[in-house]
Amino acid sequence: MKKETSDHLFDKQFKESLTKDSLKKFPEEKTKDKESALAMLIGYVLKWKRREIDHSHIGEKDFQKIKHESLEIFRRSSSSGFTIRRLPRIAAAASILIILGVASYLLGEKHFFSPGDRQAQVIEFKTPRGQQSEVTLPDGTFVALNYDSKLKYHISPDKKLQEIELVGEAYFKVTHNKSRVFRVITPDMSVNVLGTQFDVRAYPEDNRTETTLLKGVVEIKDIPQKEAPVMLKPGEQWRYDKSTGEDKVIQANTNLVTTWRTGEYHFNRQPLNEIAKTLERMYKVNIHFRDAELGKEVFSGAAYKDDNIEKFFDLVNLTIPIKVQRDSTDIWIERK
Amino acid sequence: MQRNLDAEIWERFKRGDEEAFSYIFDTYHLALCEYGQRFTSDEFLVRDSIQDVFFELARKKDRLSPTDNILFYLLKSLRIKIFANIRKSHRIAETELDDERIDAFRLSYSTEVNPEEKELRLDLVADALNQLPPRLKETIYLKFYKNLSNKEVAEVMQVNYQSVGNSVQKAIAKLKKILDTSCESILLFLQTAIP
Repeated sequence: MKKETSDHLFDKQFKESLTKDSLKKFPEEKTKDKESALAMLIGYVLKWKRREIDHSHIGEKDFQKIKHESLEIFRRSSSSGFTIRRLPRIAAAASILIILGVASYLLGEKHFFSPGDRQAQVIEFKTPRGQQSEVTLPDGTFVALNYDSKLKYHISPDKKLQEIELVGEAYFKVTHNKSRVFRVITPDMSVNVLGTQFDVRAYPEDNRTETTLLKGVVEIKDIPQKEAPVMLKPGEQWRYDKSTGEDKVIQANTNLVTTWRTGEYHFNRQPLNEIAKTLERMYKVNIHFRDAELGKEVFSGAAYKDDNIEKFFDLVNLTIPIKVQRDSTDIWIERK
Repeated sequence: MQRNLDAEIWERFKRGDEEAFSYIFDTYHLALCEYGQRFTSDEFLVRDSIQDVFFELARKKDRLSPTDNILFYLLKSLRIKIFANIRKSHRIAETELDDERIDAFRLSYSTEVNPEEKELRLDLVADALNQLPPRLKETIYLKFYKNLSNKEVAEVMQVNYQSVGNSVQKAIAKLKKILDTSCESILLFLQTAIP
């Protein structure tokens, strides 16, 4: 039976395959399958032209309160008494690793915040290549963790300072708290935060480290060979080039900076070898350049997790002629 | 795959597994908030409704029915709570308030288009979508953005199963009509533009 427009439109895979470039395929698609072509146009509007409703004032704090109270009710109404059942499968899916303080964590939030607990504890969250994760930290901070990243959360008795170590990339939404300093530490810098939304990108294997501010105020400190901290305004991005030691602040397209959360990457005049590192994390592959000079070629374009990696190379091939060979997870690239 | 995992998590939650409950909260609270805000701009009402949903889950737990789609279950519960709370806040008797009285579903599309989109008449599609009645907007929202089936949509919105399919078909037919006229002109345009 032939598929109708609506069959396509509400098909999960079809929806996921829609990209901002879908319109270009329209003329061709129309001659092949008109129903699917029309679904593509309607789906495009639904997916990309939707107006977002005004930003909510319901904060993470409200939600944490609701969560906390529901958990209390949940425990009280437990018919079989207080039991802890581990959830190995979910834990594995989210790849959350709790190294220290396991016992206290499992005993619930109350104990978690117990002031008598002098010992500093660390919770570690990790994502492997190809997988992202979202967590809400005990202080209410929301974190989205990008591929192949690691975050260490220090539970310290000192309520005035909250330190987080980051390797990789993460988007933070920090609840406003005047009496506390929230600090993100990476190998090349640390970021001091007042209630805010920002993205930190600090992969050790990448040449560039970035911090982009979406909302609020941040201060970037401990930059190598630099005394003065850098203050960012919303919409600004701080970039640090590890090889030259130079840093600068630019106006960033903040919409594009956090699209990684939906499996989308936008590259703006970036060298192929830098792009390759992102692709490696995204698609769980290893990319090798047969010719090192090729890796320095600059490219602009987008990669989508839902598409396969070959599609991205096809796109590159349009401006930089390349030949791609693949052997399971290893990919070799050379000039055509 | 997703469905099986949902059923498993739901079972664990019902058996009193605290982590499963936390997981459900963490995973879905923002989606619920987003859905709730489409009915009303009263954010406190939305927040309280979300709280009602989770308090009830926490209380009832093992007495709840099984589900293989947690999001669907939660959306359904939230909608009931929101309508109940709107009723309460308006002090309107239940009999007076049918769906028509809650006459909003805040879902709209930008009619600002680039030349490529303009050529394909997507501004007209956006406009037509904006003109849809609230309940139809909600149907499309649940089907397109939340991946619910017609049967699930009918259950969430408490309407007849067949009417879900029919109303969507009608709306899409209308959109297709707008596009159809444009399709012809587009092909013409392309033929002249590309030698």
